[in-house]
Amino acid sequence: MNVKPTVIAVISTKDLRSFFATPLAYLVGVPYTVLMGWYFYSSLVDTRSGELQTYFSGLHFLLLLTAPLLTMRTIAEERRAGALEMVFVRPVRELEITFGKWIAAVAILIILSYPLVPFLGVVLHLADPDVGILLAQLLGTGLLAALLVAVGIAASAAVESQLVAAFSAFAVAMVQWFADAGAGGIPNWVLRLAALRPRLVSFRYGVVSAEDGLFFVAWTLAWLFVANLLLTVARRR
Amino acid sequence: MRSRIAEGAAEDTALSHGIVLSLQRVGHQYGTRRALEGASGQVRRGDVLGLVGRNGAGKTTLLRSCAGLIRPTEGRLEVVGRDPYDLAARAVVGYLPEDPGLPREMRVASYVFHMARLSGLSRRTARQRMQESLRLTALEGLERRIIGRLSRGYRQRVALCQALVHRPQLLLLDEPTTGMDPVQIDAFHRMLRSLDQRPAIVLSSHNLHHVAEVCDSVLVIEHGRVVAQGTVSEVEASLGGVEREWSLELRGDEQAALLTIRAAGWQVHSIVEAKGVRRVRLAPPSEDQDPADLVRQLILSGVDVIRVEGDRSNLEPAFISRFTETGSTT
Repeated sequence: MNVKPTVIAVISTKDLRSFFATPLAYLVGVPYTVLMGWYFYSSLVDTRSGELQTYFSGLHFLLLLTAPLLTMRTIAEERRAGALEMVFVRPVRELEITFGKWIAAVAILIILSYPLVPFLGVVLHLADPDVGILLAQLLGTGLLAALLVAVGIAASAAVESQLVAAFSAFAVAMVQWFADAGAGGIPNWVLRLAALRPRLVSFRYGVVSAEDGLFFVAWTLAWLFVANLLLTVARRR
Repeated sequence: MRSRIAEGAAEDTALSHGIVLSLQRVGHQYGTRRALEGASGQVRRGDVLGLVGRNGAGKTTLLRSCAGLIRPTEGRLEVVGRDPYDLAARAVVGYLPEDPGLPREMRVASYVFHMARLSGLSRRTARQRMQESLRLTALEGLERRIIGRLSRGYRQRVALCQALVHRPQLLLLDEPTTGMDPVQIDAFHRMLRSLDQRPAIVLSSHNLHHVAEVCDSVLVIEHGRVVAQGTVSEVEASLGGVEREWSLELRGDEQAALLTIRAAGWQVHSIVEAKGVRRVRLAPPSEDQDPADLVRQLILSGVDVIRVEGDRSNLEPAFISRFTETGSTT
């Protein structure tokens, strides 16, 4: 399929600009950055070192809550308001819309995570952290954010209500988060295929493996595939 | 599935004949409810087709099918010889839905530019076409305004602006004048007539006077079925038209005026007198009768003719008369 990067870029740019023109940017962004700061402060006080495992653990859970709120209106609201229909009559493929919206949401999450820059600056200045571990932690966080955004986009493509989309995305993310805790009747190897926590622990302690990286990439693509499928169904409904 | 070669050939044939939209017994069914049945016809470049019908008659279903938003369950529909779902067909369609979903938080120019870019235009061309389109829809000076803060009439113009920005070959307008005041409606119709390289236009409207003014042909839909089709006068006749009425304002000898009018074969419907002026409503002996002859005879008989007014179209009374007679309700 001939997907045009320009169209993806046009869709992402519009979504990115629109997001920061809505109150949602502040309703989600302010608590997110405040909590990030709080976790960072607590982590420094608790550990009194440059080790940020506790901090990243908290940040990962914060992402579980934030990503669904950021993505809830991407498709659901546009569909409810009829804006998606205006896009559907243009020469745009569903896949371009899906990728465009995903890239925009990931970019928003990166922008909202700007406090990480001064936080890491402080740690690098005051302590002597292992930069390799730090980079692994950042990579794990980025991969998790990309996956959670994909889940959110899929949920937003499934329903017309923003709140239902946010709740569904959160529920799905929680299932994946706690999958390693076990569930009656489901074989452990299946649960391991979905479980997020064990993979993140590796990144948190600086262990980067191709298998863990592929896990996140595969799940992200799987959720984007679901989002694209739901969008195609919505278009032809 | 039709092959690419067949589709390319169909496109060439359509373009060589100037056919932009082709409908062959197009029908659509939502579950068990039949929304549209047997719509046929062709719209050529520069033609304006009016869709007329009551709420729920099937006009929007037909427009949405033409826009590639729903796939007809029966018949064949082609835009420039292609399936409306096809990207190449979508690139030449401009669509203004009845309730356009505009992003309320965006600025006018940003939105129009965004839609131009989505249509595949380069940044430079998109910017140029955006300016043209803003000028055409009288939105100049409002480029920086936030869409959500505009009045409904202006939002409708923004929606129209985005539908025109890529110079579509087929313009689909669903109730385009909703929310516009009479001045805006008049400006809108003048704008439609002034479009450069005029596209084929399919226009759905409840304002039948405007349909009669703007459209070359009309398709009347009722309960999903096409009940009349053709030029405005053909449709009027087909709907079992109402007599065309003229109104004259006269001053002078009433008896002489009435004698002249009757002698010319005209039928007087009513006479209302106010401040020495008589307003006479009358019908011609035949559809093509010119009132100029009657006016000349009245003047010769010593009657002053102050004003002559004619119904611009018979479409609306014919439509109302037809659908009131049948007593159909939706």
